[in-house]
Amino acid sequence: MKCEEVRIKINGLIDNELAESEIDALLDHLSTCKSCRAYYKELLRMNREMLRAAPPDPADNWYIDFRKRFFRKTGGFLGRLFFIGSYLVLLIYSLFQLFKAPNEDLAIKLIIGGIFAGFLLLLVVSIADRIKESKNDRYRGVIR
Amino acid sequence: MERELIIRSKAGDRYAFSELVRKYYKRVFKTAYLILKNRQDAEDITQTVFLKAYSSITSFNESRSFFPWLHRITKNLSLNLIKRRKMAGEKVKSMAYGEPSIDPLPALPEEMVLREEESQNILNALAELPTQMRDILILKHWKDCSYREISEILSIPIGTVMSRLYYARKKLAETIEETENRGEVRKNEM
Repeated sequence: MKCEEVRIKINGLIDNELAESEIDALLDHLSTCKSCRAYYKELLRMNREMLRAAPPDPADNWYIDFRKRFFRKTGGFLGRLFFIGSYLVLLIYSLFQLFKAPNEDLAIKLIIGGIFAGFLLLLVVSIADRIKESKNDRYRGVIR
Repeated sequence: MERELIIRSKAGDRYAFSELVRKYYKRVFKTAYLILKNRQDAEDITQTVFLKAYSSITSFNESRSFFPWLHRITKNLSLNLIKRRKMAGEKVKSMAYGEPSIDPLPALPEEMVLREEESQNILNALAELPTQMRDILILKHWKDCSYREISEILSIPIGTVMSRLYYARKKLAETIEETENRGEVRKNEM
């Protein structure tokens, strides 16, 4: 192997990307070629310096905080979903039963239907407002 | 192992997803930090990235590497934040070394300027490299990407990753030597 080819492989060796068979051939060459050995050491030194110049890590407690808030947030979402969902299903079912009942007064049916329609309208409007607000929130998604 | 975590996350397993977060949050943070140049913003964006990833993980193809996907989300969200701030009239620090290419990495944060001399030499040398070389070095050394991940992020074959890294490191070593020599000459003149 030519030294230039070997040096490309040395990069792979340092980056832990070579197969076992390639490593053996490379080590054979390194044991006999002084300049490639020097290149290998120089590359290790450069890697260390690059690491020293690397950007910082996030705060130590970032992951723990995220995990806590993530579970709370996703749990809260599921809770709201189940609560509102079940409530709506219950209301629709009761309303259906009420309208189906032959003996109930029509006025009562209409009043309860009106209350339900009003509730549904308010719910839709408030959800739409919330969505609009969250779209304009520049920190949306950030868990506080 | 990772594939299994992704499949479980797709099925709604929050514990599996939090393991993926544990594995990748530092790399996501560094990606955001290099663009935003501010620790608090980078931490906030890192949170947002994982929440967005969780909400859209069903669209992720688990046969691909996970980090390039997170990398793309991080870049988009960070650049959106900068854009929103510019539109809101806030002062945004300009990119330190010209406009970004495939990866807006050259924006070296202020905090990093306050490093010891050797690190400073590396940063100066990196700033002088062609963007393509700088991108690949930062992906490898600072974002700890495997060749496969780099290949997906830059859309180049793995063989090209290997040779490009070789030439980038060679150029970096030459540039460090040049900048060190320039520094020596300046010291002697004083």
